[in-house]
Amino acid sequence: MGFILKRLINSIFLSFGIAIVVFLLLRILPSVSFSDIYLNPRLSEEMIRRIKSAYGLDEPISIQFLNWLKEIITGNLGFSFIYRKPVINCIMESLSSTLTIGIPALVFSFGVGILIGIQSARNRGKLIDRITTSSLLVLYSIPSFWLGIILILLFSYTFRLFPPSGLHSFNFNELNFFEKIFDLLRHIFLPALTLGTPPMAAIARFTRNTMLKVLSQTYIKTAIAKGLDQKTIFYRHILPNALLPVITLFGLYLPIFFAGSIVIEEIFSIPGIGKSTVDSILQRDYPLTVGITLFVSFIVILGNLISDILYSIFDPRIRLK
Amino acid sequence: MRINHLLFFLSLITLITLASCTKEIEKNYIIIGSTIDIDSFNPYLSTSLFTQDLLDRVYLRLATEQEDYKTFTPLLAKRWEWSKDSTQITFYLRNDVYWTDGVKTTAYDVEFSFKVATSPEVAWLNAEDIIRNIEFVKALNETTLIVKYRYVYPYQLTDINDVWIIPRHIYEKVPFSEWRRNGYFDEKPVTNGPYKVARWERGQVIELIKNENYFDKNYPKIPRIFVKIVPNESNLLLQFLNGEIDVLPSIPPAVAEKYENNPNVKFIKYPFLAYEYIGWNQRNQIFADKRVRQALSYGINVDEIIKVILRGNAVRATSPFPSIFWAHNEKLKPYPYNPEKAKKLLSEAGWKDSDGDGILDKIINNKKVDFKFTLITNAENLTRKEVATAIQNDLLKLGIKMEIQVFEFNTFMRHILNRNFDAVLSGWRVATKPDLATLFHSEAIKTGHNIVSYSNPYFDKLNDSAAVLNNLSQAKILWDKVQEIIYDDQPYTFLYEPVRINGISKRIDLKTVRMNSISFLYNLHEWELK
Repeated sequence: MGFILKRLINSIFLSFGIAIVVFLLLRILPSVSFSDIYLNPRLSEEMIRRIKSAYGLDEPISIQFLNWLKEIITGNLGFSFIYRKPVINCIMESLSSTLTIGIPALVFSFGVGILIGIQSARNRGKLIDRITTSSLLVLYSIPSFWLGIILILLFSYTFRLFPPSGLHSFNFNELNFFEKIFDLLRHIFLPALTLGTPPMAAIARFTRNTMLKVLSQTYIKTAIAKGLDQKTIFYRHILPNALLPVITLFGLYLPIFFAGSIVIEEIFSIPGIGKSTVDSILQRDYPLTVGITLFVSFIVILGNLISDILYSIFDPRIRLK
Repeated sequence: MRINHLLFFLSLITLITLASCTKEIEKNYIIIGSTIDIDSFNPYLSTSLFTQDLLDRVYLRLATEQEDYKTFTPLLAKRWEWSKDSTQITFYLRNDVYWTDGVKTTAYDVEFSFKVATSPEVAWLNAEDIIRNIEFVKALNETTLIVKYRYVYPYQLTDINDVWIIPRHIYEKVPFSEWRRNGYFDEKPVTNGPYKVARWERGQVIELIKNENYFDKNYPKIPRIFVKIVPNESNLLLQFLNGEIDVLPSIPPAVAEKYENNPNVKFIKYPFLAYEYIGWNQRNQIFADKRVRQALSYGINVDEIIKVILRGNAVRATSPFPSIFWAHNEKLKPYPYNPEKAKKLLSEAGWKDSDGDGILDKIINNKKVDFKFTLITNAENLTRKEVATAIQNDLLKLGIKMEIQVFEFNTFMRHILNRNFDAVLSGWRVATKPDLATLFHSEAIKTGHNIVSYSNPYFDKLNDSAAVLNNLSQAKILWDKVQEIIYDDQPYTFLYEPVRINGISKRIDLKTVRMNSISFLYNLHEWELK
């Protein structure tokens, strides 16, 4: 318990340090809050100054930094220029959209990935294994912007099976409970598939390798020699040992699912963390950019912590100190 | 193994059910596609033109600007009278306009809106002209409004009509200084136009529905409008071609050409009050010579650019006033593509290839300088990148070496405003009030938008007198002269005036649709479905 607490506190400080660096970097860059103000050739320096002052951007950096610290302590994480509300609220709203896609994608990539990996290892060397392994390599290497558009072209444009964008239909509020769930699932399908496929391929290949490693261990040979039946060998001896290293991947992939994907959220029009990141950078919404950085770095560190904890639970040889 | 098969079939069945289970909404609506979301329902905070296009469907202005960009027809104001000396206009407002919460729209709302528009705390982007030109706005009673100007000038109506009229009883609840830090106004806005806002889900959808209390009971014809936000252009285009989206603004020429024969859609093309140009920064010695700038204009094959890159969807630009604008000087003909003449002008200006390396050079301040420079442009605009490459080739034929540098928009603007560039490829949208002072007046060299540091006292004088002339036909004569000066001096090489291409579904009765430079939703309330 003490270990987890220590790591948690550490991670908060670490993400905080990252946020300070981002904060300073952003202020050194050209500091104008809204890109469009320059589109208007009639706008004078005086007007630009007024707008800057309305957002507190005319203060010296040290004062701006102190103001920002104050916002962090109150838990607002700052005040977003473009959404005109506390950054923490913006992040929470985007997070819910990101998770709507991220959790199904996570379940899909680990569920399907592990299943395929196991099957592939069991049929090692056979034709089916070779086909699976090479297709996995292809799936792993496909860039998501391309995969996303191809899926839309196939499932939405040609066959009209799934909606091409958004998280729900326009008439969502008029639907009953079951229709709502169906509607949501229909919308989630394509983006979750796009998001989950490359990690799924990685997990499948990884699982296959760890399975093969375990299969060659002497204790498996012992089990076979003892005359244990196939099922017991598989579920008791092979699976737990083979899946242990997969836990590491969980920590590694957590940010992919929970921190939002800029590319996929753009293609499928999902108002999640990734989309907010781009918007905040393009519109020079510094507080939001810094807030999101803070949040994402926290998720990354948290992912590592979780995989460490899971490891200690599943592998009695490892104890956290 | 059997379990695996079962799982496989189960998921297949779920997928099929999912895919087949939809519930249609009654088809009395249209969907407008957009890559960007709106930024606020408070018109005084919004910076995006798209937002203002939509806000104009839900808020009424005093009058409607007509497609000639100079006359106005009554809207919220039934009629208006000018005082004898023309420094004052009295507006008589309609008595039957109500805000969506049931409160009447009165002259006091307009008076309050003027206070908002000019408030330093609100810092509205278009405030400057209003503050400079209008002395006060006063409501005499609920329907009578006086607007007093500081002096007489041609665009008095345009200026007061720029002021968005917002409900005082809602907006006075929050002090001006807190507007930019308060999301209150982004909830459902209280409006008075033909449409009202039913919902706004950020990054997803905006729904406008018919305002049942709108004063003109004949409008709007289409009761429900959705704006669907899809940031990805390819996805948006697919949805448009598939019939899921009915209106798609700003389509690239090549795409429109490719799908011209699609039976479900039609492409509407119309000229736009804008132009693309290359600005030659005269702080760079190379471009300080007028003959060089003229030579560059002769040396760029703009017709070819229009034909190949824009597929003919543009008109050659000759002056800072686009050809559809009333102040445009139609006697000016575009600089023809004439490399020989360009070479002649360059050699007159002292540019020769003395060392035979294929690049022109000249002795400036006892130093041999090659004719080399960098053209900057912004990354978001793909057409500009192609145009820049075409120009690069044209100029190389003259012995001029041009590099191209592409920046993200904000960084690009910073380079421009700091005058930190040699040449720039960009575009301006043209305001309907003709005034070239912001772009070319010598007073705008230091702080304004005279980014090329162009200075001609004769131009300054003529422009200043033209801008305040009240009689527009007399002003036109001066504007013609002003444009001749610019034409001769070529501070910019004027490239082309883009044609806007919007896609529209054939579900909509095209006879009822008007799109123009003021807005692509100009008469949305009059649109009808087939």
